[in-house]
Amino acid sequence: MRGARLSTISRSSGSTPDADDRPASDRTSSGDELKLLAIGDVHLGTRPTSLPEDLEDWGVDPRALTPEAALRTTVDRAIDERVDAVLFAGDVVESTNARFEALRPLENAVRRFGEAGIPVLAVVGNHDVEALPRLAQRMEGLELLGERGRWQTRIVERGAAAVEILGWSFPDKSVRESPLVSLLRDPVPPARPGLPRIGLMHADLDASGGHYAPIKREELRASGADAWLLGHIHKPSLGESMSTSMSASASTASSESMPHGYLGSLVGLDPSETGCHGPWLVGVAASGRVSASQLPIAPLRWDRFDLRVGEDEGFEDLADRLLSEAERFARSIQDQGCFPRVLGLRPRLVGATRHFDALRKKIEGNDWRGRLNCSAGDTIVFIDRVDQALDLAFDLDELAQGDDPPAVLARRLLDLAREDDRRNRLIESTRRSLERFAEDPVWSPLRNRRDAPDPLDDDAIVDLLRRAGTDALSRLLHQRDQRNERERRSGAES
Amino acid sequence: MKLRRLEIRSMPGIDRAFTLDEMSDGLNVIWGPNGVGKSRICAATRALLWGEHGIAENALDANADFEHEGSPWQVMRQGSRHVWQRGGIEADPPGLPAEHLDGCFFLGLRDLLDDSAGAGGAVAREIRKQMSGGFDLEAIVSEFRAAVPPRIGRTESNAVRDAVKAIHRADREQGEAAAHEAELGTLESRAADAESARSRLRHYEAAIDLRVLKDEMEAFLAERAEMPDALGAMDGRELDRLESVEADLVRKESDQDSARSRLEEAERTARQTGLEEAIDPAVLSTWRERAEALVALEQNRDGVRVEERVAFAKLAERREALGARVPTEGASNVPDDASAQGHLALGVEDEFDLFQFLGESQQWVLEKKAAEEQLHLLAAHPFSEDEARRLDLARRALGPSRAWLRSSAYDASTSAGATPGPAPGRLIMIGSALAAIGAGAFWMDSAFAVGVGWAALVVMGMGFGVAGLGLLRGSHGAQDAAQPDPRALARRDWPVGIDGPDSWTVEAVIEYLRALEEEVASLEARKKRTEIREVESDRIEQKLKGLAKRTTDLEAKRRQLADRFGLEGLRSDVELVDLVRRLEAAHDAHTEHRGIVIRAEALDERWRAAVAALAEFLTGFGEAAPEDAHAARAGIHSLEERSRGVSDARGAAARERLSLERLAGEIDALEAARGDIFSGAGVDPSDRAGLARRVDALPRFRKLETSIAELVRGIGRNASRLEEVGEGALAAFDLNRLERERAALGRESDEGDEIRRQIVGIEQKVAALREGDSLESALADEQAALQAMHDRREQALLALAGATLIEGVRADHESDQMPRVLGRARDLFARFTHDGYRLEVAERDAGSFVAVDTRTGKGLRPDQLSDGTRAQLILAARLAFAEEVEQGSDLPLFLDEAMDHSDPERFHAIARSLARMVSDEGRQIFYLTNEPNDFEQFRRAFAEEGCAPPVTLDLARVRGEVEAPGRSEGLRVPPLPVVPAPAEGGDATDYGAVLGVPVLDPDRRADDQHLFHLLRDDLGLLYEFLVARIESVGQCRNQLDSGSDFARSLAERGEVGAGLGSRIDLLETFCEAWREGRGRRLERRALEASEAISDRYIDDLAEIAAELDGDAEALLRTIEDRGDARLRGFRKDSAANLKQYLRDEGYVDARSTLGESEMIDRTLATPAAHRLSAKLAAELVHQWWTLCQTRSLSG
Repeated sequence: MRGARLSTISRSSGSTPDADDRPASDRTSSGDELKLLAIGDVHLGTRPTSLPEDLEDWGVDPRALTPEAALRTTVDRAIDERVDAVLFAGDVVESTNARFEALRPLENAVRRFGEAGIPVLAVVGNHDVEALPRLAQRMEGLELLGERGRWQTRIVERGAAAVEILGWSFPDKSVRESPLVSLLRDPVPPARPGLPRIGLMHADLDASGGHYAPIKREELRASGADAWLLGHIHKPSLGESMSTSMSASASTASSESMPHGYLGSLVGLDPSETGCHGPWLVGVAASGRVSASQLPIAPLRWDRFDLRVGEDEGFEDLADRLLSEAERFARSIQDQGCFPRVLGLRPRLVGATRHFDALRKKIEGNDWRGRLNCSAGDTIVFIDRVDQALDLAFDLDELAQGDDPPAVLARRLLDLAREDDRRNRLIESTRRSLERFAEDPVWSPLRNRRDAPDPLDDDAIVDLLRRAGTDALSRLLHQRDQRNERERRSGAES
Repeated sequence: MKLRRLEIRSMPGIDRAFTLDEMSDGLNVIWGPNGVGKSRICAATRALLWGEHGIAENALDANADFEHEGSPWQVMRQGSRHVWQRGGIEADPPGLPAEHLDGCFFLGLRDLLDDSAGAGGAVAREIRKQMSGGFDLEAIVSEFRAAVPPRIGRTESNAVRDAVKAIHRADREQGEAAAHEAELGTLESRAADAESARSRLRHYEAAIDLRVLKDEMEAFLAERAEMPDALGAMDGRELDRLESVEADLVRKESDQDSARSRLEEAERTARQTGLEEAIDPAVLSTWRERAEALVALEQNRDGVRVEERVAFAKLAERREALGARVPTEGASNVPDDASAQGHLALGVEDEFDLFQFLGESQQWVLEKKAAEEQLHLLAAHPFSEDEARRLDLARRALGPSRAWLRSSAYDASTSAGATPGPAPGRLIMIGSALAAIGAGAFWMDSAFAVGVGWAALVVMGMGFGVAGLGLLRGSHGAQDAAQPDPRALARRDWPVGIDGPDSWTVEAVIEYLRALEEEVASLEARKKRTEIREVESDRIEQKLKGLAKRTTDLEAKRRQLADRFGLEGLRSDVELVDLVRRLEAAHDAHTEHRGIVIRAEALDERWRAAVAALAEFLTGFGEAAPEDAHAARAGIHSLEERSRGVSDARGAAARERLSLERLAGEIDALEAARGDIFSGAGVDPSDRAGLARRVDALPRFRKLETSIAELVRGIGRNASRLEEVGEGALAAFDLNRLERERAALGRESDEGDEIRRQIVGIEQKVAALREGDSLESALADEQAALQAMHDRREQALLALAGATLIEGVRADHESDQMPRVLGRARDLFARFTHDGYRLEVAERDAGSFVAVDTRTGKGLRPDQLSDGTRAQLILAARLAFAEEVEQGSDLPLFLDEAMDHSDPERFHAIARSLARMVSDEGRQIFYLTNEPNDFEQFRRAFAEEGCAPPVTLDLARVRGEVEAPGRSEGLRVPPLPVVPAPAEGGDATDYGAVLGVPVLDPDRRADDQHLFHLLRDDLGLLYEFLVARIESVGQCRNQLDSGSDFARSLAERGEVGAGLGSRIDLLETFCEAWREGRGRRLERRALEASEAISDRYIDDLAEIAAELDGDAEALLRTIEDRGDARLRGFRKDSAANLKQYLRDEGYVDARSTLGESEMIDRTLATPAAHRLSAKLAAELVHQWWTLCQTRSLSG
């Protein structure tokens, strides 16, 4: 067991201030760098979707790709890294499955952390607002920060090194106001002067409203913390601010370069959660400088890449190309240190083609879905779905010069690219014609989903029109080709 | 292209060639009755133009002359040969429309009467395609929409719902488990309490047991003290033993009585046998055997008697065959001498005489017959006189022949110095020749048989040749002799009456002589035999005379025998033979019968002796004397029975006496045992009830003894146990208290078991849930289902967006690119219907064309139109399309009874259109019909259009089949309706009344108003429209839109004509303004379309709506009031839906109605009013307003 411990000092919002107004960079060093392991949304009790049915035939146990498995790996890594504390940024468990099935893996993890002497701090997210406090009461070694919506701090220290964790937990499933407002209004004084402070919360950054603690980036910056580790959004974004922070020189370091962002889901739960996922190793230097690097240990990774199709390239060879590109992609992420057990890819075909119809039919027929797979080292790579953003190998401007239907359609496609009234009218008329269908009660399960996107917002309609228009134009041109061919044959015969 | 001449030489249905010529460049009405070949003309022309066309390759032989672009063209088809010639030179076919478009030029009634919604679909598609610049946008839209089936998303929705249900199930299960888990602490506490209660419960049960034991023992001791001591010596089976002894006594006494009875019975039986002692069985056995022998003897005797009856029957039969009287069956005495009994006096002894007579008779017959036959044979061949004369002549010819031969021999010896006779060489030649002839003749028989007869003839010829040579040599030799001729002398002596040799040659004469000698010998021998037969005949005749004498003897003998036998006569020997045979058979039968009778008599004697012996024996023992074997045997049997009976009875009596002695001893012993039982129980020997009471009390006595001992042990044990657990005090509690407290503890303990089970169940459930993943799995399923649904929706939206885009493109393109063919079709259809309808190409999925009623604006599919209008619609489209696709070939149109379903007015309209096609476009048209007055209708229409009259071709006459009826002169065509002209300076209202103009009804569309309401101030123009069959505003608008000559001419018809379109617009604005605040009239159809009313209420609501004159607002008020019993139970949400529908569809208009000034202001503000003068517009609006007010007031 290591010597890291949580201090007993605890300050809540509204307690006696012991303000340390110095910027973090000016704080004195307090010894060795502390290592924290920050974990974003785990959502225990769920499992990834869209996995191929025959995954086991490829030698992969689907259970090894679940959040539970990812957490297990994370615990192993935390113990290996000898971290000083583990931080959970909320939504540890899935709200709809927080009673039993999510309990076991969390208990195991906390128990193992406890056995390794690693303290565990967590804030409550909108998903585990009921479950996590209950679990924390039952589990020794799991401590919640900011319960009942009050800001709260804990000190993590090892030897001379220490950091103060400032946390806030969801008191209810819905929080429509920014929790940072109260923090800014009533700051939590530092436990010790000069201690670096890291904020930990579950919130909706830069949202204009909503039920999930909408906060603004300015509020984060104004909070005085040295870094903010956020939960809620599954796409990791801490790295972006870290790169900004890293690129900023010490002399110019300011709140602008404060590391902050989402830790992301521990493992991509569906194909939309692309990119690298995993816990973050957060280093806190005695100087107060916070560094963070993601540990790409998620067993499953989703990603996308574009595959440019040649103008005359048919679909016959595309399967091989897709697989070779998929393997190449897998190698590239491996080169970056990411070795998922399974890599699910959604390639998108781009480029101008003369075989639009054939490729479209192949893609719409889902002929490749889940059937193309290869391996790159120990990583199993499979093609989840092929998207297409193909263009026709025709000059739209030229096509639009005529007065036949292809010309009319080409003009409409060109209109889509312009921000003018014609585009808006086209969007509006399309919306009107699709509204009734989109509002059919049969689709209500989609509308009732949290964060359900509007299938008829402007961008969606433009995308639909662009794809459908390209498809329709391809069909028209095909008809024209057929007619020309008939006429050519007729002429040749006469 | 004009068809000048058509010759059909043969084709299916046409077996006689005919030619159509002298055709008009305009309309040719080919008339003929059904079946005359009108449709064949179309088929042949199609085949000539485009090839096979439904006619078998070798079935058509036809040719046609066309004129095309100033050149003569001829097309000929003979079987598979299909040749085009231009100016007599073979050439490629002229430019013709594609073959599949032939239907545009050959229109049949069937095509036009197709009442399907898609009628004319091909043409419509082509038009639409043309409108789309040759692109099949409809197909693309269909492809897109095919990706969005009607119930899209239902499968995914169901999957989501199923997943959600699974989640709810799992969640509910987990929720329940969680709730139970929360109760675990309480349950554990209650379980501990229950365990404690269970422990004390055992002590209470022990205390209760102790209490019960003590109470029981006290009671037992008291009861035992009251019982007699003698019970201790009893074993409880005393009554059983007593009953057993008494039963034995009864039984023994009964046996004693039975033995006495049997003894008496035995003695009586012995007496009844009548025998003192039993007879020796050996003696009985001997007599039994003798009785049995008597039985066998009787059977033998019976058999012999049967034989005797059979023999007697046989004898009787044979006697009957002799004619003797048949003795009565069963008669034992058959007379030996049959003659004494029957009329036939024929005895056995007469047999010899009969046989002797028969032999003599037969001998006589045979001898006579042999003599007669012999005599007949001898007389068969007498020597005739001819034979005698011949013999004489032959004898006389012998001499000359021999003399001639002799002279010949002399001649030879003298001339050759040799012995007379033929020279050796010549003889050899003659011999060889004869051999050759003979061989040839012999061979010829067989040679002809095998086909080589010619060779035999050759051989015979050679023989005759050689013989000739030989004879020639002989001839030369005779001539050479110089001696006197002795042969002549011989010939001179030749007898008359017989022919000499064939030739007087040596050989011939020799031959002749030989034959003559043989004949003489034969005749002489025959003469000799005849003489011998005559002698023999004499002898036989003598014999016959002798036989004749014997006949008399035989007859006398026959009569003698007949008399002797009493026969009428013995007519023949055959009868005699038969009689003898029957007599012999009767004799045999008699002998046989007699032998059997003797045997029977011997058996009878033996039987009588045996019966007598047996009778003697039986009667000695008192049995009856037997009369036959059976009685004897029965007597023996009876005697045996009696002997056995007396023996058995004597034995039985002895046994019963012994048994009586034994029973007396046993009865004494049983009496003694009975006394012992009573004395052992301590009761008087006669106190049976006392003994029973003692026995009854014994079990209880013993039970008390045992229980008391056990209770003593149990009490001690329980008391010790309670003391050990420190609950000794419980021993002092009374039973009620103990049981009360034990019950409470029991309930508590039982509850503990249930609680423990609950705890275990909950813990197991929680453990299973913690290890399980059912909810996680269900959540994953939900996510997957949602993802699938999302994908499905995206796919559908994409397809719908594509369809929307293409439909937009089509609309844009169609609005910009009005196709000629559609314009032409519209023009034709407007003309055909007098602008009553406007032709539109149907929207996607709505069929082919739509005929829009210009009055109501309502579009009707082909299947919704009347037959006539539909035919006009499709005809217009086809004609227009034909013009479009013919590529300048100007093909003739063939209309095969295409206008049969048109009423006279429509026919007239179509005919005028065709006339314009003829006159304006130079189109050649063939109209094929079986209706004679079609020609007259065409003629009238063509005359009105200033066209040359049509030519009629009487096909029946051309084909020479029937005489056609008279044409127009004999046929009457109904006149077209006449439109009354306005009176000069007449009043418009009066004219409207004459026309029967309906009132202005602004509730309807402006197009549905009568044109009168627009042209009251120009009745002349109105009249022109009416003559053109244009009556409604909608028809008028259509005419104006058509851009026809008439429409263009309106601009030059003054202010009214030029402003007609503006007036229409103004009226439209007026009608719309009028309807503002009034709402549409509500009818049942609208109620049904609302889909807010169930079947249960639709009839009632429609009825109420009709009662309210279609006032939708009033209907809604009625529903809200709920006062109408018919609407009881009508749901509020249905009422709300109906209300919303009626508002959305304009049946309820919440706006306020407009007054006249507001109406005028509204209409004058429109562009239409600006195009008219303000004064005129105001007048028109006022006029309409007044009419509407009048209508409103009049209701």
